[in-house]
Amino acid sequence: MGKFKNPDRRDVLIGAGSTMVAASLAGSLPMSSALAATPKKGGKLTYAILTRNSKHKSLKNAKHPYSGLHIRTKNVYNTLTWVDQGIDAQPEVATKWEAVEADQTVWEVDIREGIKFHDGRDLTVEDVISSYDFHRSKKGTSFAKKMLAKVEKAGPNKARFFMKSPNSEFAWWAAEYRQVIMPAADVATIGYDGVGSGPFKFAKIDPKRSVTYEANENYWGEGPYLDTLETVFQPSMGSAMNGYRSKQFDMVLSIDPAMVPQFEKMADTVVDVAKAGSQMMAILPKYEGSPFMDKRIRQALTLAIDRQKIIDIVYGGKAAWIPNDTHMADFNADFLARDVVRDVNKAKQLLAEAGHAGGITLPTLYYSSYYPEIDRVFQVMSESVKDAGITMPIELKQKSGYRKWRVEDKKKTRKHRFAMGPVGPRNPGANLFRMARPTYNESGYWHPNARGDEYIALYKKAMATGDTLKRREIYHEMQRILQDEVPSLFIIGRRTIDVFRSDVQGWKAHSQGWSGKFDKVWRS
Amino acid sequence: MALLDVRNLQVAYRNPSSDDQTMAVDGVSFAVERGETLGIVGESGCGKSTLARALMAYCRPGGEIVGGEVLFDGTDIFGLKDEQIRALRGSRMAMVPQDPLTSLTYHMKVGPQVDEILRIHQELDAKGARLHTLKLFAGTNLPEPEKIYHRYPHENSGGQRQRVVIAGALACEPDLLILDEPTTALDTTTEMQVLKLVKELRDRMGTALIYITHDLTLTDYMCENVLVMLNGKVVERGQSSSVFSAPQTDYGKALVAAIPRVDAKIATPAQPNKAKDGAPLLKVEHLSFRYPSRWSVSALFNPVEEPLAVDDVSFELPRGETLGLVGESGSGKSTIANIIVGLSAPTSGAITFDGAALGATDRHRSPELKRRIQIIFQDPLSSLNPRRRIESILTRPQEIFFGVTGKAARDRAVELLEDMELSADLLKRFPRQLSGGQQQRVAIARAFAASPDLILCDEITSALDVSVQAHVLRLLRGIQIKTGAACLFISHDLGVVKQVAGETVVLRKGRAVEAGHTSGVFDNPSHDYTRLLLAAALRQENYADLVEQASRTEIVGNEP
Amino acid sequence: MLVNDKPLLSIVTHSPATTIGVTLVTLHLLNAIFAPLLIPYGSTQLAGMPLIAPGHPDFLLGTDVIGRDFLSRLMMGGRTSITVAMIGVMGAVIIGTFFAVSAAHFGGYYDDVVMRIVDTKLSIPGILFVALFVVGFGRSVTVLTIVVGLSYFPGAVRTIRAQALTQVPLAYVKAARLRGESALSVIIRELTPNVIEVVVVEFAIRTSSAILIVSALSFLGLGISPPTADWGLMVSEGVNQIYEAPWLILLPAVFISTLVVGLNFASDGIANALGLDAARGLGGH
Repeated sequence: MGKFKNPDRRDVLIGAGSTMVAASLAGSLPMSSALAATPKKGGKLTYAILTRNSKHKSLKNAKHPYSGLHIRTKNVYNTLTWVDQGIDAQPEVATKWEAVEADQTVWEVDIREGIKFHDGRDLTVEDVISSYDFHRSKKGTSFAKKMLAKVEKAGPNKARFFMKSPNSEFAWWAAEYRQVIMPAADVATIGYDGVGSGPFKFAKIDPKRSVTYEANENYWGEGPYLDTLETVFQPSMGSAMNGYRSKQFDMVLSIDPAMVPQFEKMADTVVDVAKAGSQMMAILPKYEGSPFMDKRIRQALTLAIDRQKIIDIVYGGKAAWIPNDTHMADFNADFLARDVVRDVNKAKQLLAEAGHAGGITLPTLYYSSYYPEIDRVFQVMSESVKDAGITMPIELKQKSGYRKWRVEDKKKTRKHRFAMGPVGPRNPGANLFRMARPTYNESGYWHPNARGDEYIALYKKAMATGDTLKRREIYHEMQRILQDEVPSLFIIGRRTIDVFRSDVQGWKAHSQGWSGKFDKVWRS
Repeated sequence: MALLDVRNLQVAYRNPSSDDQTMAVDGVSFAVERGETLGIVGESGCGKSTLARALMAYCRPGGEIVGGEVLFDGTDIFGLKDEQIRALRGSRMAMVPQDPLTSLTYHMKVGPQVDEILRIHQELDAKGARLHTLKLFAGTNLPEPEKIYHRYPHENSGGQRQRVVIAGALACEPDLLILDEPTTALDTTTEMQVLKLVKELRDRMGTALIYITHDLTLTDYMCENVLVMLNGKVVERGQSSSVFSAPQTDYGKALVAAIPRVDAKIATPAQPNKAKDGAPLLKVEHLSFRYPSRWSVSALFNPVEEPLAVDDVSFELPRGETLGLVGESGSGKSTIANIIVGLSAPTSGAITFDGAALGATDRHRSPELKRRIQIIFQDPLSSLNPRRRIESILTRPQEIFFGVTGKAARDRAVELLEDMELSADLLKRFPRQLSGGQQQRVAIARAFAASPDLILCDEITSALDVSVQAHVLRLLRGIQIKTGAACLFISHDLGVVKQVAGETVVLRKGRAVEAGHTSGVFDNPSHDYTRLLLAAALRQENYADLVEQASRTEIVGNEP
Repeated sequence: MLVNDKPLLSIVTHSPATTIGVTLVTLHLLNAIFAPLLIPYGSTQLAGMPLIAPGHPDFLLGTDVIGRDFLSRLMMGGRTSITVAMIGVMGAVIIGTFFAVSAAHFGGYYDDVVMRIVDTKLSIPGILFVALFVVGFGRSVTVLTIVVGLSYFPGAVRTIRAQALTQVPLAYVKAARLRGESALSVIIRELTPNVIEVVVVEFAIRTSSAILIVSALSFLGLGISPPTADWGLMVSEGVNQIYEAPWLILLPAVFISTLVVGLNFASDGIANALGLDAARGLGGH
């Protein structure tokens, strides 16, 4: 806990909306009265997201689920499963899934009957197989390539998935935003026509600027209620707010926490805070000459960061959570919080043991503008580690080309850097898998390492363990290893904040940006 | 009532370094009647140009009219509003400045510039203004007015430019025309043509003239009455002929005495310094020079050669002697100097220096040869680097030519200054802080710092006042005798050449028309052109007739 | 002290605007130099609660979005951009002077090549060039300094060459050539001292424009990086709080504009006092 206390500031930031925030955090819908009303059909919803649609290269690939329609594939497509706001897996195209082998390598999935694609064709098990054949053919862009061996038909409405290794959390894996179900086609052509089975159909695409969808009248599930849905890419927070003020947008997703008070002053506006959201991590490069080769320095750094102060100053005291030195999100049931979040004296002691009794100057930590508040997070962090005698310069880099710049290249001519990366919240298996990959950049090449081998073995064991509680024990053990080793630095976790007009019903801020669904959203 | 009545006029300049003021014009009073011509004479710095400007209610930056009044046609012009003064200038009073280039806009054709005056003051339309301009150009004896109309200022000769400016000044038929040294930048024959023109225009239009000059002989030729100014005050006034022939004040007497006169009997005619020892120091044989053609598309298809600027000129200069090179501007005399010194390469011909052929340009000459031939330029200020102290200017050649630096070089610099009758205090000064005469003496000192065998003097006195001229020439003569250097003395001023040169070559349009002993050439000229030059120098009454005759025989051209 | 035969005092008080300009620039420079000794808090120190309004007894000009003392940040906020602008422009002007004077001296093909390169650069809009360069080479103070230098180099060459061309035909240059001075010596020893006022005025005027460009880049996220206190960056940090905390953008804007306006007033006035308008192509001929 930081020594910085700031109740006044918190009042300013959260203000009138604090009750709403609290209600939302408790897990209920933002307007509980809305549940009672009957959904109404019709109307249009325009929402802004604070990113560029940088992957839209041309209209040719604009409809393809891999071309990054800001990863919100859910509007047009369905996946086998869906992850809800509580990060539980829910049926979607799949009605049922079960591991048919005890080691969790073979899964059988029942395909829902009566689903029609936008072109009127029925969705069949062949479409599922064809889609997954495509997904596992794509290199480096989805989890399917690495994990899926093959898919076969196991019955008229049943598909059998053969995984390369055990995967006890198949249901979450199947919800990944790229693994959508498309009408069967050749691997080279599948997906380009933009035909899915989701609640909306593509209507108009303005690459880089906006995408308009219209309602799919033959949707298999409840909804959609809206006639028209529009996504607008607006990377500037200020412009997005002005757009909302001028009624150009009805909703802005994942806003800057500092803007909360301003939105709360507006009439008929709901500020909704999700359970969790992305966290900011930093690679700690581990190669000859890097100070992060020394575990004590890694430990000291994470102990020196005043995360509570970041939450107080940047997130109004609430809209963020304290990570635990792993990829786990605090709403994961298996999340194991650190015993001690901050201990400046311990950090100093560790540094002294490492030969830096008089303090240490670390290399510059680079970051890029992934989130509107990121400058503030890094500045507060950089200031707070000074308490432990750590000088850590920070520098903001351009977003374009940033990822390529910070990671090691294939030819290894360039080292991975001491730099920030974003982490989306997922199920524990997916979270903890990231440190279990021997050559993964984000671990800063933690392996080969005895603790790392132990960790990988534990991961494999968890993936082959069907029982949830038994898995939890393994997961806790894995997190303890990471908390001791600190292969990477986890700085702060966000809680996604969405704002929208109070006549928008049925929307709930989702911790995973890509899993938010508009099928049951309506306007009163 | 007089057209212009000036009463106790006072103009002061602020001293930059202190708060007090220096009086540039100190209580001057005079009157000018309609049609009258008044000369104002004085040496540079006497306040005559400041006075001329004040008459039109102009002041240079830092200047201020502090007292007195100027009544123009009964109205005090200092009491007028700015726009009233502006309306007066150009329409009822006009001024022709010394350098015509400064009053012409360099990127505009000259015709439209005069049109503009007419359109503003006479409210003529574009076509009317153009016709009137052409008429004015014809009236100022500009050849082919149509052609001139479409030329840019730099495409005209100095005389043509000055005539364009006069045409502009006369455009609105002013009652008063102020000419501030209008002919100083021109050579003698062109000067005489301009003066004749001004006289004619005065007689034709009845314009009153105020003629400001440093040249007493000109006022004698031009003006009925004259004022002599010194230090901002009028020291002598009267009819110009009487002031010129029998000055009353000491200053007037000194001024008249300093004029180099072609008709003066020179007590000690220029003599060779040394006996001729056979081979001359400099021998120029059949020298010709042509400027390279200007590149243009039409020239590709129809190549036109530029005329020869120097056409088959030959002369010899013995050691220690002084040779005069005389001619009006465009006669090729400066071109010859540039070729000898190595700034331009000759088109054909041979130059022998001390028995050996000279390299075409300075790049083909040894440092030793560069040392032995030195040049002094016309404008002393621009020939001295404004950012270098006099010490640096005088020691640098010693360092380059002799490797002498430090105290030795400084001592030599002091010695050179003493030869030029300048104080060693000047070493710490910048050229701008010196008077024109001092600057030219420093330039001479710099040339002699190289201990040259040949010194080229390119119009070195034309920018100086007469009294200063005489002094500079005397010092030059002294150091020349002391060092034994030969001198090629280039001037348009026959009076000056007569004083310094043993032999003289007369140049016209690049050709040597006459050569020989100076006294012989001047006393018994054999060529019409030489006679014309002499007449101009003497301001003879028959000069106008000679010009008539000359233009008929195409001796005097109007070529740019 | 005399500059061009004029007393320094009369130059810096040439007109009321000049006096204002010189005063503003002097105050800014004094502040930039001595700010580290004067500021009440560290410029990155989290000294208090965020968004305290100006007028607070401990925080005279309030605090910023993360609780840093705004007065301290304002006082420190010019140092980086002024340094980048001054070093960049100085480099441009010094190297530019050499190219300009040598182009004027040699003329011919050399002059043509230099001027065509200059023209090519001048045809690219300044901020675009800078932005492209920073995107291409990454952002750092060194890159910023170099890019500022590169963007002002062509203008400097053009202006200084114009002045050098007035000197080249003068007789003192011929005299230097005739006594066998090397080309380098003519350029450096003879010509350069005679373009120096233009160089100085060019430096002053371009510096003000460079400060604006650096501030604009920082505002766009292409210039100076957090947590450095920088006016342009401070404006961008405060821009989303415009309704809540307008001082966050007003105060840095006042600091930027007083410096830039001051520099413009001062350099225009001094150029005027030294009679350099014509050389800079501002006035008549």
